[in-house]
Amino acid sequence: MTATTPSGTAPSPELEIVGLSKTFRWQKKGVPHELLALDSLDLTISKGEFITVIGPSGSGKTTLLRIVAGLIGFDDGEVRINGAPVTGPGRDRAVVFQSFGLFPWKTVLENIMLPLTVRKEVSNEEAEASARSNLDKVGLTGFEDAHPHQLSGGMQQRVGLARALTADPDIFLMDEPFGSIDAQTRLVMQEELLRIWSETRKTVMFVTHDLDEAVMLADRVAVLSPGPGTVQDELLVDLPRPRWEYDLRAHPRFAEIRHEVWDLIRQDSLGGAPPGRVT
Amino acid sequence: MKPGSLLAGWPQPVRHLAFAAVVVAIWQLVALRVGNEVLFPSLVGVVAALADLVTSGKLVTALLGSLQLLFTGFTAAFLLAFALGMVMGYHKPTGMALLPLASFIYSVPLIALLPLVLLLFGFGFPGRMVVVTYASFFPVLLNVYAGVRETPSDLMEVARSFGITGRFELLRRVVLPSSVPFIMAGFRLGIGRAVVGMAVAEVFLRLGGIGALIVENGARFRTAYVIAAIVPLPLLGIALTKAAGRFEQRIQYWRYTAVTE
Repeated sequence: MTATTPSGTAPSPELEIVGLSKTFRWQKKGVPHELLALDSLDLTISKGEFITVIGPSGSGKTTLLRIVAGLIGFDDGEVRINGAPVTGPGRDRAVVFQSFGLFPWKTVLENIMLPLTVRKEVSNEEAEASARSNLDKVGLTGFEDAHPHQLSGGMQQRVGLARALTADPDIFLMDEPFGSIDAQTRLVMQEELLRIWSETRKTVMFVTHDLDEAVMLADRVAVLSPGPGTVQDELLVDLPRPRWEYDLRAHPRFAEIRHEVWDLIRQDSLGGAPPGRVT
Repeated sequence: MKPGSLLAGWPQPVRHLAFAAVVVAIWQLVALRVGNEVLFPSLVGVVAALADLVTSGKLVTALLGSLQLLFTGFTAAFLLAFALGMVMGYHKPTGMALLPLASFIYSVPLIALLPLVLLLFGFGFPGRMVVVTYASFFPVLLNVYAGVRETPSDLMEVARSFGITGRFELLRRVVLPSSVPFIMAGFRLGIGRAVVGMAVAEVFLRLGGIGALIVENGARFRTAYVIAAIVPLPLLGIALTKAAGRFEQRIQYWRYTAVTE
């Protein structure tokens, strides 16, 4: 059983990553150190596709996301969005951060308005209206004037999500957004994310180390090899949508795909094929 | 019976007052036993002196003079320290260069600098103001510096990702608001030290304000008046620090750990 890559299904590439390499360099007691984080990585994401990137820690998945977000540079290769090379952060992308990244001195509503207040293109009233509708989407109506520290982790990430929605990007970049949220809340938030995504159908690149999450959300799972990161394999997740309408984990296909992804990850970490398995 | 259980259950202010009453009663008893108003003035004597200072208007005049010195000196300290702290925190080489120097000067006792101040600025208002400014400058500086340095890097990243670019915009939208708790802590510590600087300046440079009241009465062995003039100083310090603390709580509804001292 080999992994499938979407060849004929891709309509138009929205995000193209070609031969991307990144080396971190730093000095420690005067001695230069180097770490190759990404090694000639290729990945293409189509418009409207939900892709999850999974890999063991140290595989460079967050580095990859930060490069696509324009927050850090890279050494070699190309990153293009709708044909244009990425040179820095841009309004075509919005990031949902693992640490939520809310401004503690701003209220919930002000935090969500941020992308619009920075741009200064719409009036304050319009920005507020947009923020309120996104607040409603993530189910936080009534918390407009709360400050982030008054909210639970799950609620804070809802604010982070609403902020990204307000930025109205072409691509959502999610860096283990539910990684620090308790297991039960995580399940609820995954489902809500799918709901919100089904309404907008924007491109999503979602980085995670959670196997279930990777399979549950994605159209396609990209498995990174342990550092230096490169896309080891990609798997199509052909589970029917909307996925909140049935018990996804009870679906036989879910177990199969999950198993395939797990095999890939395990092979990597063992440095070879798992024993006793015929491929 | 455990100590303090006598008043257990009573509200805190009542217990404070009760304790104060005990101290005051012992004071009065000891003073009566000593029987010397110069060496050990009685409580009654001090209260009478305080009443005299208040009714004659001397205390108010002295206090006004002192407060003027306090606020000019502290305002100068706060503005200078704020500006320098921002630069030091935001421009790493400047911070690295000036921080050891700042720590060095901060460690010099206030009193040891007085001859230098006298020489350079004289004993008039400028000299006295310099003493107050010096006393309160460093707590503000070091806190503002720490506040800027401690700006969470993830928030800087969030800001950049949502299009906040340029050093000035980042300063205005992220660095400054996230430093507010530190700046307020610096303000609170600074104003407390400004009161100390004020008293030192008024006693050791040219006499003025509360300091003059203390020294002049001391020279005439009017000990009760000395104590009556000293009492407003800690009260002023506590009141200003508390007021700053209130203000601090009000505007910082979020919490980071701010450095002290």
